Amino acid sequence: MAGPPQQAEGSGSAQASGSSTARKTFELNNDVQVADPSDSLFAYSRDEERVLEDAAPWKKDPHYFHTVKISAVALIKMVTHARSGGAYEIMGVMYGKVRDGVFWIMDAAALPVQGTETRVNAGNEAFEYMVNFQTANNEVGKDEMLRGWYHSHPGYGCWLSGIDVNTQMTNQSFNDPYLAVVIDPNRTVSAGKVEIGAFRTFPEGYEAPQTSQYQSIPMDKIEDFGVHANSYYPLKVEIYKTRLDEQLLDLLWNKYWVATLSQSLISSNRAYATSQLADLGAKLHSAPLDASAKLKKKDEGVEDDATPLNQATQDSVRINTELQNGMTAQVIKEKLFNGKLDAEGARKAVLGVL
Amino acid sequence: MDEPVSHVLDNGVSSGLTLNLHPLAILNISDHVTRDRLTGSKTKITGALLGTQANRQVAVVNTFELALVADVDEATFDQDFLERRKEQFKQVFPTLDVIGWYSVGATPSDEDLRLQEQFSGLVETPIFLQFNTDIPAGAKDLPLTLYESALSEGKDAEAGAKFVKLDYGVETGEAERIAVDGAQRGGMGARDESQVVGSLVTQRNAIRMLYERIEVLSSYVHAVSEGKAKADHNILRQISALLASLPTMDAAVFKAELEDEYADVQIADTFNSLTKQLNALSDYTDRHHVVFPTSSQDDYGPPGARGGKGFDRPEALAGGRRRR
Repeated sequence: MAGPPQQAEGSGSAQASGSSTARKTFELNNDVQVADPSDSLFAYSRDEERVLEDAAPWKKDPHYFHTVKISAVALIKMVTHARSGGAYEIMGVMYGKVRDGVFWIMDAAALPVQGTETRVNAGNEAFEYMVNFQTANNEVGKDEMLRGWYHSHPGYGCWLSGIDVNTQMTNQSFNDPYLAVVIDPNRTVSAGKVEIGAFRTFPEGYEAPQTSQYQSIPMDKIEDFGVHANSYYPLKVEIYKTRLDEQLLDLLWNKYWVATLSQSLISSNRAYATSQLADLGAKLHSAPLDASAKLKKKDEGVEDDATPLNQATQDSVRINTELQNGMTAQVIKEKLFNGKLDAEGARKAVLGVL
Repeated sequence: MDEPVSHVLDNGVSSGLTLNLHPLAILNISDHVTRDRLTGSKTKITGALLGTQANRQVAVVNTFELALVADVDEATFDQDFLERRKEQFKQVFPTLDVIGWYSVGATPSDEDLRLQEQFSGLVETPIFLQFNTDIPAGAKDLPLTLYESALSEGKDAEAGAKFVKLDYGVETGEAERIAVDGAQRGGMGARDESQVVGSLVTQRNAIRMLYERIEVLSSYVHAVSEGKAKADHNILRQISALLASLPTMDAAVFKAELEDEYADVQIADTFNSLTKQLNALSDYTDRHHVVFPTSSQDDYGPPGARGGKGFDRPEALAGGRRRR
């Protein structure tokens, strides 16, 4: 579908814009704090950080790190990189600082690693690349340390697989403090919101407190997810931006609001939506078999809140919401740009002036 | 830096490139500027623009910082560093090439001109992006200006190489747009925000922008027709062309496609309702089972819940109806 008229742009910029009001309302609703965190972040020197590294409080407390704050640039780099991989997993590294139980991820870089649809691993060339890249970073004054790795799970959610858990455990024993970030580019695009998770593994032998949270995971991955779900914990993910970023983002919105109207979620997600429905079908198909088993369990006094049918229903609601959102956008555009406007009359009015 | 002679040709002919900037490139430069300000480095801020060029379409997708070598008083690009970085980015993003460079300032300086000349030796017809860090309050445009070298012919050639301004637009990939939105609103972890509300707010904001712009046009046309404003035929022609393009898409094929799509989504919605009912029913049988448990020997599940199988087995039925 063609985008809205570009011509409206230039002449519109003279108008006092309401976009900032709209954005302010939005930020108010979403409780966004506007401070310039980079001031104190850059002031926090490598020496101070080294003191913390020597003390290594994360060795004593497996839950020491609770939050990760990712810069706008690093977030966009990771998401676009993940998306560029298509159906294949991609991988990269993150640079930043650690302070007071928080990872500050300031930059991210892609690694030349070719993944498959279900796994990605870094070989020796990748390590060499990593070292050279960081050397070059230092030459232009980017002296942040390597603070973690990111990879993508195209279409199957943000969690750590068995292999991921091993990789992260190794990194935490040799390169700590180290963070694992997972991004799902397919769900990001279909949900219209960045699907990202940040994780740290527990040391071996640590008894993690049992937690269960709804996670939509495809049939063929459920086992891998279930076995390892208690060997790591998620960190709270926050995004920070500098004052200059803030100003630029404001001005950017003046330019790219057009994209919101010109893109169609449904057509760009068709393949993914179909695979989601197929997965849902498979889950529903297997649910009745499990139901009788569940009843037996109940008789034995075992309570299980998350029944297979329950999970499938949550999946179904999620898929449906995304489809409906996409359709609503389509209908809005249909009304806006394809409506039975009195274009003839309006044109005559303009031509009359000419 | 304030030079008396402007290095920009006001009426120079550009090569007619269609130029699009990606938010990532813009924010990456922002990051470089902020880092430079806070670490108090003394060198000039410079970096390379990474992007694609197909025919006359140029997209600036990403950037990376460059190093300068100070040569007595004339700084030049560290070519070795540029080559190394170029190679590194080529390995991970094979489709992206170095297509230009960036620096900061309000207008191109002597030094910029010299660096542009050096860069021309490294990359064919490089684009120069200048970032003006001094953003005036209430600014509506991005503080960026893009230039290319003027084609020096005749008189201009004698005056030395000059810059010509290039028009540019902003372009985003879908994932990029979502990430920018995410960065704009801050937190990611909040899962309680309704997806429907979020999606509708985004739509509403975009429509409001469209509406504001249309209002400007409409008030202009009104002012012209009342004789209060000067008629700019170019603008009026554009408005007329715009109106002529409505409805944007009225082909029967498109209508049919949209209707199909609509029906598909509604079918999915019906299935969703059915699944929810099924789940509610299943929950209900579960609860029923708790209140009226069967004997644990019954492998067939509770009577009633399994389509009346209990009738074949009277002893199960009797057992199942025992009240607690």
